[in-house]
Amino acid sequence: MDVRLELNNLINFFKVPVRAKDGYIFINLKIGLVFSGLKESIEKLVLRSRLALLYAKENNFSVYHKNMYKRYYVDLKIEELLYEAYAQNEFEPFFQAYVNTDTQEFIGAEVLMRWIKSDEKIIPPNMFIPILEKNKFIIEVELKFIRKIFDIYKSWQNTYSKNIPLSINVSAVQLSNDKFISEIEKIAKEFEIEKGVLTFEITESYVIDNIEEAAKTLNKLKELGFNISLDDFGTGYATLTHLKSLPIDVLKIDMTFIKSILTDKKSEIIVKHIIDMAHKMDLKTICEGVETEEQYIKLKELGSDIIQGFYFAKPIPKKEFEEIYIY
Amino acid sequence: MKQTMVESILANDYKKYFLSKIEFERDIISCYNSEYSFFLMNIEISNSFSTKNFEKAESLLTYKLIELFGENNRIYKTQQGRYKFVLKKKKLWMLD
Repeated sequence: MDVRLELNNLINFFKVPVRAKDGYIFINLKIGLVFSGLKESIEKLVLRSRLALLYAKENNFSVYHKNMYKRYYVDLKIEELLYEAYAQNEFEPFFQAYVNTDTQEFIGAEVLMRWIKSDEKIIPPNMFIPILEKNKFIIEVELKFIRKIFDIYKSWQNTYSKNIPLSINVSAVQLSNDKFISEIEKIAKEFEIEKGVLTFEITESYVIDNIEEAAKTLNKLKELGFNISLDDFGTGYATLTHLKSLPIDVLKIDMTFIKSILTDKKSEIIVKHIIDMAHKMDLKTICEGVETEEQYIKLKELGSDIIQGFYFAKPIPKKEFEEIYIY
Repeated sequence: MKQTMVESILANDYKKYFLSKIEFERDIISCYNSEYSFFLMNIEISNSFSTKNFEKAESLLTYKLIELFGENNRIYKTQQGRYKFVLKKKKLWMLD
C-alpha cells in the first residue's frame, strides 16, 4: 500500500461534499506524515508530524522533510518582524485599477496589501500573509489596513470630490472573527462611508466551508452598505444554491481560467457559463489576470462586465495611483 | 457515498477506536520494541464548523480511516478535529 496515495485519496474523497439527511457536510482535511525508521523520541516524532501538517500545502498534504525545521525558524523570525511592521505601519496599500470591458474606462480599483520595510524593500504577500493567517494576527493587521483604506477613500472624496469605488480583500480568519462586523461598523461610521461604493472581496472557499456563518456575516455587511464580491470563483464547489442564498454582487472569475482561455476550449466554456449565469442572477462579473489584448477581446466577446489585469494596470502605490486616476 | 450509508455511519459510536495519550505513546514504544516501522499521521479537519457538524465530520473521517487502514490502527484524538494516527508497517528487517 502506498500511504501517500491513500492519504491523498482520502483528502480528495472529502473534497466532494457528503450528503446527509439534514444537509451537506464539507470536510477540509490537512495531513502531515512522518515516517519513523529510527527510534526517535515521541516528542520529536510528534513535532515533525506537526511541522509536516503546518507546511501541508499541495493538496493539503505533506511528508516531513528536515528543511521544514529551517523554514519554521525563518517563519518565526518573519513573525517577529511582522509585529514590528504592524507597530511601524509598514503595511501599505497598492491599487490595481479595473476597467469597464466595453468602454475600457476606469471604474474602480482593488486594494492589495504590501509590506514595505524601512529599507524600502517590498515583501511579497505570499511571504507574510500565510504567517499572519496562521497566528491570526491578520485580524489586527487587516482591521488597521481597512481603516487606512477608508481614510484614503474619504480624503480623495473630500479633497478631489471623487468617489473611487474600491474593493478590499478580507481573509476567512477575519470573517470568522466575532468582532469583525462591529469593528467595521465603527470604522465606517467614523469615516462616514456612504453605502454602495466600497466592496469586500471574500474567497469562494470561505463561503463553502462556512455557509451558515457566511450568510450571517455577509448579510450584515450588506446592511452596513458594502458590496460583496466572491473572489477566485470557479475553483471550489460554490453552487447555485450558495449564490442564491448569499447577498453577493460580483463574481470574480478565477484567473486560472483566464490564463488558459485562448488555449483551452473548456476554460472558455466555463467562463462563458459563469458570465451568463451571473447575468441571469443580476450579478456583475470581473475577469482578473488579463494580460494580453487577445484575452481582453475574447472576454469582451464572452460578455464580461469588468476587466482587471496587467494588460490595463498593475498594482501601484498610492502616490502613483493618484497621479494617474485622481488628480 | 450514498445517503443511507452516510446515515448509518453517523449513527455509530466511534469512541472505541480512540486511544488515550498514554496508550498512544505506548503504541509507538511497542512499535519500536517489536522493530516495526510505522507512519505517524497528523490529521486536522480545518473547517470552522458548528459543533454538530464537527461531530458528523469526525464520524465520517474516523469511518474512512478505519476502512482504509484497518481497525488495528487506532487513533489518538488530541482535541476536536485533531487526530494523530499511527499506521503500523512491516518489521524493519522486512523492508526493501
